[in-house]
Amino acid sequence: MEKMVIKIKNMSFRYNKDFLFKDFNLEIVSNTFNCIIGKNASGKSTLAKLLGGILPYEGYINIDGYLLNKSNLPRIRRSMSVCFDNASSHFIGETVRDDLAFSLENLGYSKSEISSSIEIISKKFKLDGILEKGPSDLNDSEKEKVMIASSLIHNPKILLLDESIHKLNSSDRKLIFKLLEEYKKKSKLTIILITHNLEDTLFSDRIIVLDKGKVLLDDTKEKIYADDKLEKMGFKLPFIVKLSHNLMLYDLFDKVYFSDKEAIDKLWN
Amino acid sequence: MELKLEKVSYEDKIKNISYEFEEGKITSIIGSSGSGCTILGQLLSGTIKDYEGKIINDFKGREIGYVYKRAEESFIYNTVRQEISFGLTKYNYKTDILNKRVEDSLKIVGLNAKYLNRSPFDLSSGEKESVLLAVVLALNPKLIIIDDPSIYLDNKREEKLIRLIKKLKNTYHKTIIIITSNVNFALSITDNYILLKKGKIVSKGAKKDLLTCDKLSTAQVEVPEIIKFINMAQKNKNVSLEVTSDIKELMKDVYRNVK
Repeated sequence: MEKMVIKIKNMSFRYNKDFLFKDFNLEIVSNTFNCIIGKNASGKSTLAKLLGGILPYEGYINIDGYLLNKSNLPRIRRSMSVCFDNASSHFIGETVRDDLAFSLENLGYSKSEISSSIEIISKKFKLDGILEKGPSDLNDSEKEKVMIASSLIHNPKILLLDESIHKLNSSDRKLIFKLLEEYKKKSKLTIILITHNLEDTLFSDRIIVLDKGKVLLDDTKEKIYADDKLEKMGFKLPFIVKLSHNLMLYDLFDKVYFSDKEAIDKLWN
Repeated sequence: MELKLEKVSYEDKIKNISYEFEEGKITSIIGSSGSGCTILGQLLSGTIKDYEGKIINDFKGREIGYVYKRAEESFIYNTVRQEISFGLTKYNYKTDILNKRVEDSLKIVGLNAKYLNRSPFDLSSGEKESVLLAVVLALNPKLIIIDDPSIYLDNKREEKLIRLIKKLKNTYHKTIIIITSNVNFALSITDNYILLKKGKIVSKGAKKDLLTCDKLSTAQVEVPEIIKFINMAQKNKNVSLEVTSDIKELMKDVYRNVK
């Protein structure tokens, strides 16, 4: 049976008088890559803040077996790392090395464990050249990379990224997606990526479309992108999906492809 | 109006840049984070002064409007009206003229008068971006520099912003400089571009040159998916496809090549 790592039941949240979420339900299956998409003001960032324990809610939220409340928050933070969109304010240490060490110190790791963890993670995330640098000497791409590295250094079960990967340069972006795949495969990580860039959804197992605090669509990318419903809702489809739809109209494709290489092989073999 | 850089350098961040911006056009300064784009914007606006080389800038003081990135950090007032009025108050306008300018600039960015009394902090990111632009437009600048406008916008907001910026150029004859790492965004809006890598110009030209620019990857800028696809088809299958950012054009070309 599928194991749920996040359960949200009948959750409500309001700004002043207006409900943004009313009796909201959502479950996240362990060891999957989930993308949450939605237009500006759909509630996706508020959902991240609610799951991160920053905003109060009514109803029921359970994360990795713990009811989300103040007293369970330290335990939940161990299971789930949350990254928001502002990598600068995420930075706590004086240097990248301090920043990476910080969460491990809090969890009571020994000095030697900390230094070996930092060595491993900085190799993975290619941070060797910037370990001794401070936040003001890093560019935005490096800051986002460090934020994600320090969120994964203690091997949490869940990683929640709220628009946290948009300043990555092209090679860092490639690296981060490769590492996320790897963490999912080897460390059974569950990933929730909140994004406005639908190209990101091509990496996911499940796409959840939010609108005004409600789940509008919730399915695999194969099903979500089988037709142009997202486009009709005003989203910009990933290029390869849009191309596939067009080629289906021309009878050159009979399904949507998710990689350039497969699409090109199909067209010119 | 002239805006020209001659062998401009600043610390180790801008290296020997020479470029002349075209008046009344949109020019995109493209680069990944750390490439020096924002610093170049600050040099053009006059915020950074201790540079080497020469900057000829006929746009002075309030003729230059700068829209900073990270909207919410620059708001300080409780209402949109106060936020937009702020820049104007020091010029001693009569109240009715001041109010009209505030209302007009909000109208140009496509927000109705109801927004005047709302808190800028409670707006969505797209609305915040629009208010920031209205704050700048209220001073009626001739040169507008916008830093990373597209970063958090959804598709609808982005299309709106593109129409708005084009309107500022075509109807109001503004000279516009856009700082971005989003090549797709630049392709949908720009007349000219310069591409920066580690503070140096590695490519420049008109929009059509950006399509075929082969320096994007080395500059660590994300190549648009459509161009990646065309390049891969050329490389793997030796198919000759015309480089385009328009999927309909690509479709015609693919159809011709497959048939």
